[in-house]
Parts: sequence; structure tokens; C-alpha cells
Amino acid sequence: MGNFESETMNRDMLDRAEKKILQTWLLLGLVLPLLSMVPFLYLQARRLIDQPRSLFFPLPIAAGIWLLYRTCDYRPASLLRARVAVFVEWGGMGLAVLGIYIVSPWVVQVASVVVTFAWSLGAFGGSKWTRILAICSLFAAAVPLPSGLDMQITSGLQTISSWACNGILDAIGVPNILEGNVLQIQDKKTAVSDVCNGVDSFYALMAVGFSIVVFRRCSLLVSLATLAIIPLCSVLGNVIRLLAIAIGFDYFGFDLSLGWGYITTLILVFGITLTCVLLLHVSIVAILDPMTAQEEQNNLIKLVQWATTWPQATESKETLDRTWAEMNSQPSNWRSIPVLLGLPSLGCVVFGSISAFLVFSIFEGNHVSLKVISEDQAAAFPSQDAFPEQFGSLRKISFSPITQPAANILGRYTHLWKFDDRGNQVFARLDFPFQGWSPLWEGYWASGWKIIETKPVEIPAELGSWTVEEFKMQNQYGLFGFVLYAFFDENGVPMLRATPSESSSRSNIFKRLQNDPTEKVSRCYQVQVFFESGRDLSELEIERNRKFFFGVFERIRKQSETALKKVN
Amino acid sequence: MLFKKRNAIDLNDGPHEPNRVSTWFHSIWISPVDLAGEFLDLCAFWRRTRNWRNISALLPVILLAVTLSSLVALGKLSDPIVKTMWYEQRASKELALATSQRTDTESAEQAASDQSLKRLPEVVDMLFRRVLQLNQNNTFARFYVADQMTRYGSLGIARQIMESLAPTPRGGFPKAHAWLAADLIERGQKGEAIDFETLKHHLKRGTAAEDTSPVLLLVYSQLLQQENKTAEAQEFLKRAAKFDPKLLLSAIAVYTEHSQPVQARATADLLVERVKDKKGEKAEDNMVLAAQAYVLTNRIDNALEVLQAGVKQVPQSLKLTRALSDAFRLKFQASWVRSNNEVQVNLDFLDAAVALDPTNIAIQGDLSALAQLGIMKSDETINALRVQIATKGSSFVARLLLAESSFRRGDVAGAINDYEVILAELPRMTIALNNLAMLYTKVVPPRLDESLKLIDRAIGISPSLSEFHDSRGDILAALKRKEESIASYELALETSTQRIRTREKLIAIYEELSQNDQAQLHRDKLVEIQQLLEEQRAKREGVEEQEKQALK
Repeated sequence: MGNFESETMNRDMLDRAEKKILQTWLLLGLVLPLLSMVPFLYLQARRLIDQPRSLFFPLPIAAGIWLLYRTCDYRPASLLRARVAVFVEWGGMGLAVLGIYIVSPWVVQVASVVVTFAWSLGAFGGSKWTRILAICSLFAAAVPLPSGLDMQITSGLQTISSWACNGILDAIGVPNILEGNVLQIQDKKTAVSDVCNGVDSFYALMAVGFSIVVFRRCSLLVSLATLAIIPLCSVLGNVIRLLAIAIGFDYFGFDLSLGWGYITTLILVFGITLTCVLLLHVSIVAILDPMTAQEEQNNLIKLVQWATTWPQATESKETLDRTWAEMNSQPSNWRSIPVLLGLPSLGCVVFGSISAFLVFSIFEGNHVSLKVISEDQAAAFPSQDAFPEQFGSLRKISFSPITQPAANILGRYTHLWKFDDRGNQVFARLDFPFQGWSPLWEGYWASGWKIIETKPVEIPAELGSWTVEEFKMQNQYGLFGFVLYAFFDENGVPMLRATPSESSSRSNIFKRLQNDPTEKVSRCYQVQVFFESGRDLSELEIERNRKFFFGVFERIRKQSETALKKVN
Repeated sequence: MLFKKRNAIDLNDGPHEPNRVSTWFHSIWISPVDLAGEFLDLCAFWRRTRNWRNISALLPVILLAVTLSSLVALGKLSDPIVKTMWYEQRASKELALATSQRTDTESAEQAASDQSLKRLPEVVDMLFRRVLQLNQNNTFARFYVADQMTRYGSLGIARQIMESLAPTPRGGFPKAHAWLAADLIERGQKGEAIDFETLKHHLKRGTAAEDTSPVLLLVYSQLLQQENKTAEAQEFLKRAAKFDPKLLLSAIAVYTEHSQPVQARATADLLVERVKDKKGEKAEDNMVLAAQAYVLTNRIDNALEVLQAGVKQVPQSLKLTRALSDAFRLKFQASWVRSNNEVQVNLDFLDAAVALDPTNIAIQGDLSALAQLGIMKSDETINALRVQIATKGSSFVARLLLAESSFRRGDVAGAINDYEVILAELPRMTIALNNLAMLYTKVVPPRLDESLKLIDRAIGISPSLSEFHDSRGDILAALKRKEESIASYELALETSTQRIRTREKLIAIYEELSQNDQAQLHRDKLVEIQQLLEEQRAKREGVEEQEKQALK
């Protein structure tokens, strides 16, 4: 009895010690580091909200928090695991500092996921590390892929979808044409990227897939198989939606890419896609269901059994007992764990304060502008009278301001001037705003142009030192296109784009970590001129076009100064 | 277990020393037969332990995916030639519809209200672009896509593509030649320097197509005519006339010019045959055409007969009354007989022309011609005219001539009186309105307000006549309403740019108002016009001289 009382008292003391350890761990391992990241996380959230395809991001985060809270065993982890957790925590904090230093909200978001994982690893000792990893992968699902990979994957899936839709329409006898990623039925042109890039996009489905496998505590094999079918379902959904739009327009004259039709199709197609994902997941679970143990088993069956059950969700009783024993015998080691985090966490908070100051003061003006350009402000940029009726050898035909959906690859606003060049149309455009250099050719590629050659242009010495790029294109009708473009920044200064030879490997790594191969820091304005021809341009014509572009760029840049002051 | 695993071979048997690596390897090694056995066991075991109901959830998705994949395969693997033909047929069908829509008035009206017809050109364009995607060498698709580019302002590109389809000097696609010819003609009309030989080349090749535009056929026939290839020119004219009978008039004119009255008459009869008894909206135009054909072949009486019948049928037709009025003018001109320095004319025909259409400004030319003959100068003629009015009653021409005569003799009041009498009977006679308005400015004191009212009435009846705007400008200038007079003069110059006197008056007013920039602008234009007129005159004299030389 005496022994029992002593053991109970001992256990109570340990419970209190556990609670204290967990509280300190929560403060130093999660609250303080995340607080230091808040300003950058806010910026990242704004970016995610700006893009319809990543609007789903609160869903996996909320699911992850709920799962950690409701399904994981909140108790200190074993000493070894706690040490690993501290190590991972340091890594996360280091990443956060790096993110703040190189001004990358994306890196900070990644750091926040790492820090949360590290904290969960130490705080939910009753749950297996694999379970923690699975739940934290939900947080990771909200992080966009780096270096524009997310765009590339989405665009790849859209290309497959539009290609497939083109084939189906041919098979069912609906006349259509596919130019790049633009599908035309009768006179109706549908940009696949516009209709298949909404909140029900591939990444949203991926987040749903993650949620399903984590909620259902699926084995790794089932989880991977479920996630592998998501791209297929996404393509299926895209094809169904494009077909609905095409058939709706061709047979019934309804435009399902706009207004209520768009919303209805979006909901219906998302429902169908989700049903497909669920049905496939149920089948996969049934196919890869662990086999019931038998007395006499061969090695292959054992291997498959292991593969279909790994990992278990909870720690074994032996492990938990060992942890308790460890705590009982070496409490000093446990107390040292939060101490190991104290200094870096405090450092993080200091660094975080600096980042907050940077974000809300310096960056607002010069780097990452938080302000949105209103339509009135956009109207103050060069417009109808920016060019005389006769500009050089070209005659101005018209001017039109265009407002595009937010986060369009062509920019939110476009001021477009049409010129006549001996019967050919020449388009001069001011597109804005952009966050750093953007790959302009993507827009042309999406409308059916094939890039033949792209290169930087040498600028005459009297015009200073900045970057102009040009590219030649050809479309499927044998027409040639020639585009020149350059950027100027918020102060009206022509921008220089670092070429691979000029930039050091360090800055390249930094740029990649900033989640864009280009400098996604400063708000800038793009000027481009597009020439079209029935034959390949001669060197003389190219030189003439370059001169025309320099004239257009300088004119627009200078005339934008007043508008820039208003915007800044 | 279906197969029993064979024992592994013990390599330690025999005289050799045990090899640890080999032992490890052979402990995990399993023969292929055993592996196959284990795999079959696994399959059997797996099959027994499955929940097949759940697995069958796969079926709807597979069904959907297989259906869509099969359709994709069907669409993508179908023969491109068959697909191209299908698109070509669709495109041709839609094109035929679009063309009929352009030519048929009723369809055009329907198209204005029908959305599906409105977008036909875009649909045709899309179909031909698809044909081109499937087969880049499809000439007609390339032609059509290039033609459509002009709609989007890419004329230069369209030209380049057409030039590749219809190269010079080699021949190519006839429609592309026709397109290039039409383009050259348009550029020539805009004042661009064009290569005449290239135009001829494109016309020659372009007119080979069955459905060549009648305008091109007409132009080509004119070119042939200039080269004295009359027979060929006639052939092309006749082809053009199939589309538009009006073009046969040009053919008649060519025959008449080349002194081939028999052919001219035959062509005129052909035209009349083609247009007669045609009912509907174009019936009036057809009657006028037939009348013109008769006039060109000196059969004015026939023309009068056709037109009088027409006016009887449609009395309110402005076209027919004007044509009939003109026919009476021609009859009047034909009635002139010159003998022993005397000219005899039958004023009744001109009277009929005036009575039929008092707004016909061409009558002024006939009156001027009469005035130039000097018949108004002798008192004898004037008295004869007065006698005619007294005995035969109202004669508009006699009154007009008397008014003109009174004005020339300085009897402004007399002239005013004559014009007022005419206007009492023919209130829409614009010549009288204009002349009376100008006379009112000349009386003392000037009756400018009345004058302005009269000229406004004349402009109300014939708003496009520059003469009347010029007169209005004069009246407003007399009223010191300089800005308004400028506007009237500018209007007069808009319809008739070469009015030298009007421009001079305009320059004077601009100078008065110290608007020197405008004055200079018109002065420059005036010099330009004078140079042009001088050039034209020299050219005309040159041609006349050449003709004289040829005659000698």
C-alpha cells in the first residue's frame, strides 16, 4: 500500500512536471516562433488569396489543427524524439530567419510548417511520428510549389484536358479548334486556364485527398495510391467541364463559362470529381486492405501485409512505458529540452519584430506593396493621347483600356494601342502591375504561338543600362510573331534582369527560395510591342521594330511618372 | 499453401570453409519457381480476403474514364484526311450561307436580328482555320483565313499570304489573284502608286474563276478595251452583266464608242430582255436601266415609253420621274435644229421635263445652253416668248428664260416677278428658289431674310447640292453672319471640293476674321486644285492633239 501511495505521488509529481514541460514547449516551440513569422505569413496569405487556384488553403490548415487536437495523444515524447524535435525546430527557425532575410514569404510559410511539425513531434508523444508527419503534410498541402512548379503542373494538366476535349468534340461532331490553351466553339473562345483554374483546381483536390487519407488514418501505400489518382480525376473534371461548356454552347447556345452557368458547372463538376475521388479511394482501400493473419504465411504475404499496414497511428504500449520510465529516472534531461529552445525562440521573436517593421514600413513603399491599384489610379497611366496620330512610320489606329481578372498572367490592367504598319497591325501594350519580371511568352504560348527564339536585346549606350528581351514565334497557320518587352519599376526606372552569367549561385538559390525564378519583390510595369507578319522578319525589319519599341517604352515610361506618384 | 518451398542448397556441405557472404545471400535467395508459387498463394489469399463490393465502386469511374478515353482515341486517331474533308464540307456549307446572307437583302435583315447568323463569319473563319490546322497546304483554307485577316486589320499579312498563293509572274490560286487585283485597285484609288503590269497579271488570272467579282470583270474589260481588244472586253462585260445587268450599259457604251451600232443595239435589247417584266423592289431600277439602254442606242422614244409606263405604275417614284425628266431633256436636246444661223428648239420637251421634276438641277444646264446661244438677246425672241405665254398659257421654260433675260438686262424687279410667278405654280422648283434668293440680295434695300428662307427651302429639297450651300454662304455673309457663312461654304466644298470661287470667298472671310491658318490651308488647297485642273487641261489638249494627228 505504502509503495502504491508513493508511486501515485510520484506519478502526480510527474504529471505536473509533464504539464509544465508541455506548456513551456508550446510557448517556446510554437507560439513564439509563429508569432515572429506572422507578418510574412500575412503577406503569404494575401498572395494565396489573390490566386483563385490557392484559395482553398484554409481548408487543409483547419483540418490539420482539428486532427492534431482531436486525434493525437498530448503528452511528452520520448527523450530521443524530443531531441530530434528540438533539432527540427532549430531547422525551422533557421529557415524562418532565412526567409525573413531574403524577403520570402514562401520560405517563411515552409518554416512555419516545419516548426509546427517539430512542436507536434515533441508535444504529441502518444502518437507515432508518422501520424504527426501525415497530419503536418496537410499544412504542407497549403504551400504552393516553388519556382512556378505549381503553375507548370496546372498548365500541363490543362493542356492534357484541352487536348482530350478537342479529340472528344471531333469524335462527336462538334466543330472546334484548339489554339494553345484556347478552345473555340463557333465564335466562342474559351481560355482553358480561365475556366479550369478556380477554387476547384488540382491543388484543391489534392488538399481534399490529403484530408481524406489523414482523417481515415490510411497506410502509406493507400495514401500514395489515393494521391496518385488526384491528377487523373482533375483531368477528368476539366474535360467534363470543357465538354459541358462546348456542348452547351454548340447545341443550346448557353454560355456556361460565365455568370450563373459558370457557378453551376463549377459546383456540379466539382461534385462529380469529388465523387470520383471518393469512389476510387474506397476501391483502393478495399484493394490494399491488410490481409488477415494466417498461421502459415509465406514471405511475400508478410511483405505485402507489412506494406499495407505501415505505419501504425499510435505508439506501442512499450514505447510509452519506456518514456514514462525515462522521465522518472532522468527528469533533468527533460527539463533541458525547452532550455535548448529558449535562446533561438527569443532570437526569432527579435528577428520577427524586425520583419514586422520591414513589412509594414519599408516594403510597403519599395518592395512588396500591399496596396492595390484601383481602376481610377490605373486610368491615370498613359492612354489615348500617349501617342500622336503618326508615331514614327506607324499610324495610330485605336486605344483601349482592358481590365482583366486578378492574378491574370497578363497583369490586372492593360492599356492597348493599335498601330498600322503598312497594312499590318502592331500592338503596343502597357501591362501592370507585376511583381518582378514575368515570363511574357507564356501568354502567347497559351494562345497557340510556338516560341522559336528568345534573347536579350542590346540597348544603345545612350539609353542606359537595362534589359529588353525579344522573342520570335510562329503559329500553326505559318504566321510569324515578334515581341519585344521590358519593365520599369515603381519609380519609373527601367529594370535590369539578372542574367544567369551575372548572378551568383547564391542569389540564384535565394531567388528560387523566393518561390519565383525572378525577382518577385518590386511592383513593376511591363511594356511590350507585338508585331505580326506573314513571313519571317528580315534583320532590317527587326532593327526597325527595336527602334520603334525603344520609342514606345521611353514614351510610356516618362508619361507614367505622374500616375506612379499617385499610386505610390 | 499450393507449392512447398524447396530446401535451400547448403553450400557449407563438403570440404570448403564456410563463406559468410554466400550464406547470407542464399538465406534470402529464392528460386523463381518458389517465387511464382508464393505469388500465386498471395493472389489466392488476396482474392479470398477482399471486399468486392467496395472494389466495385471503381466501376462507374472506370466506365466514365473508358468512355471518354475511347472518344478521345476516336477523335484523335481518325483519318486526318476524312476529318479535313468533314471540316471543309462544314466550312463550305457555312460559307455558302454567309455569302447568301451578304447578297440577299431579306437574309441580311434577318441576320441583323438573328445572333446565329450574325456570328456566321466567325464560325466560317474558325472552320477554315481548323482545316488549315489539319492540312497546312489547303489552298482555299489559307485563302479564306488570309481574307478574314483583313477584318481584323491585318491587311499586310493577308497580302503576304495572298502573294504566296498567287505569285507573280507565275500563276496560282485564281481567287487569290482576284483578291490581289481588287487590293491593287483599291490602293490605286487611294492614290498609291501601283504596278500596272502586276494588276493586269492578277486580273488575267483572277478573272479565270467562275465567281469573280463583276467589278473586277468590268475593270479587266476596260483594260482590254484600252488595248483595243474589244471582243475580249465584251466577253468580260457580258460575264459581269450576269451578276449585274447594269454593267451591260458599259458594254453598250463601248460598242457605241467603237462605232458598232448593231452590237450596241443587240446588247441593249439583251439588257431590256433581261430586266423587263421583273417585279419586286428592283422593278423601278430595271425600268430605268432599260430606258438608259434605249437612250444609249439613240432610241429616246422607246425610253420615254418605258418610263412613262413606269411613272403610270408608280407615280410617287422619284427615280422614275427623274429619269423621265432627263429623257425629256434629251428629247429637247435632240429637237435642236440649226439652219442659216438660226436655231430652232422645241421648248415643250423642256417644259415637260420641268413639270415632271422641278428639282432636277440638270435643267439649269439646258437653260444655260439656251442663254449661250444668245436667243435671249433679241427682242424678237423675247416677244415670241411673251406671246407663247399669252397664247399657250403657262410655260415654265419661257418664264425662266424671260427671268434670265430680265436679269441680264438689269431688270431685277422683272426677273423677281417672273420667278415668283414660277414658284407660285411650282413651289419645289429649286432653280427658281436659288435664283430668286440671289435676286433678293441684289435689290435695294436687300431682302436678306426672305432670301435666306428661300435658300433654306431649296436646301431642304436638295440638301446635297453644293450650289445651294454656296448661295446660302453668300446670303449669310451679306447678313454679316460670318461664322455661319463659313460653315455653309465648308459644306459646299465637302460635296464639291473643286469649287474655286467658293474657296476664294472662304479664304476672304477667314482673312477678315484673322484666322490666317485656316485661310492658308485653303489657299494651299486652291493652288493644288488649280495645278490639278491645269494638268487635266494639258492632258486633254494633248489627247485632242494626238487624235488630230491620228486623223491627219
